[in-house]
Amino acid sequence: MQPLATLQPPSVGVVAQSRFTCYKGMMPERPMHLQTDYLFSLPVRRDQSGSQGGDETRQVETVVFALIPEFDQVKVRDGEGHIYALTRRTQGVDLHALHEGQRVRCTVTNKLPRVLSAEAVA
Amino acid sequence: MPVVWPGTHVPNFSDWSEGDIVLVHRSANAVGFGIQASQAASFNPVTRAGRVWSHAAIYVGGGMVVDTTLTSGVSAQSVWNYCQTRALKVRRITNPSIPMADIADISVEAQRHIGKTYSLIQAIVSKVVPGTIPAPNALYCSTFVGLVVANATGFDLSSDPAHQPLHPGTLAAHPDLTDILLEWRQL
Repeated sequence: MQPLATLQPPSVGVVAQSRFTCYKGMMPERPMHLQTDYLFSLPVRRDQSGSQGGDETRQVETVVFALIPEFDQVKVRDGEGHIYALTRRTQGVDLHALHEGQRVRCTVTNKLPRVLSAEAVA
Repeated sequence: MPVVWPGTHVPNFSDWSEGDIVLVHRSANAVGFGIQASQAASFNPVTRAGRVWSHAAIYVGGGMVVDTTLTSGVSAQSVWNYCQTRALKVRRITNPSIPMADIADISVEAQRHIGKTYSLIQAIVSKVVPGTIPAPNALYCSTFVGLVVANATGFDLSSDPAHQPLHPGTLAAHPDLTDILLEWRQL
């Protein structure tokens, strides 16, 4: 059977009869296919080869705009509108000591931005 | 392999990993079409690209997902509840800069929050009014996925302004996630 990016359910009419028969009557005899809509939702794939720059970091000046204690998380935003999450794993900062509006200097990975460490700026 | 599975065929769970993001195609009712319409009207082209996907969940292994729904809040349920009538898409963070252990922790993080309640008002407002940014602690399906992924990996899926706010459609077309190939297999 050819694997596809989406898993199509059995037809509605078949499902209405019984769960058992809906599966009995489908794959692998009936090939799966992509519907037109799905073609528009295919993602832009990034080249996974070569250096991802995971070790390269940059300093980002951010401001705390949300405290989410129920998730042990603090959201900060830089001047360009990028959002970063400070979590209990983020080194160098005490999440409980932060408040909204506080400036935080973050060390962020370049690709797939993650805050490796952060420090509150007085 | 799920312990209990009602059908004679199962999705290729052996190719799924704990922490994968499971997206569910919109349902064929007013709510489903409403969500699709709201995502199609989004100012965000990424969300528009994934507009047909109306629900997001975290795969936690054993044929189960943890998701946030209006009726149950954050809860665990069988993938069967979705795949018997709706198409699925499974996506994964595959960037090598994120340790595999962190990605596996997404599942653990998701299960830590079982029992939390659904943010109905935030969900409605953010979907009905294009451009609305939900409260950072709003908890509906896609924001739950975003919070859990950030807690486990440190990566905020809505970091880029082009990915804000985070809707199921945004996750479906998010360039930092990779599709997992899916197929039915006979039990």
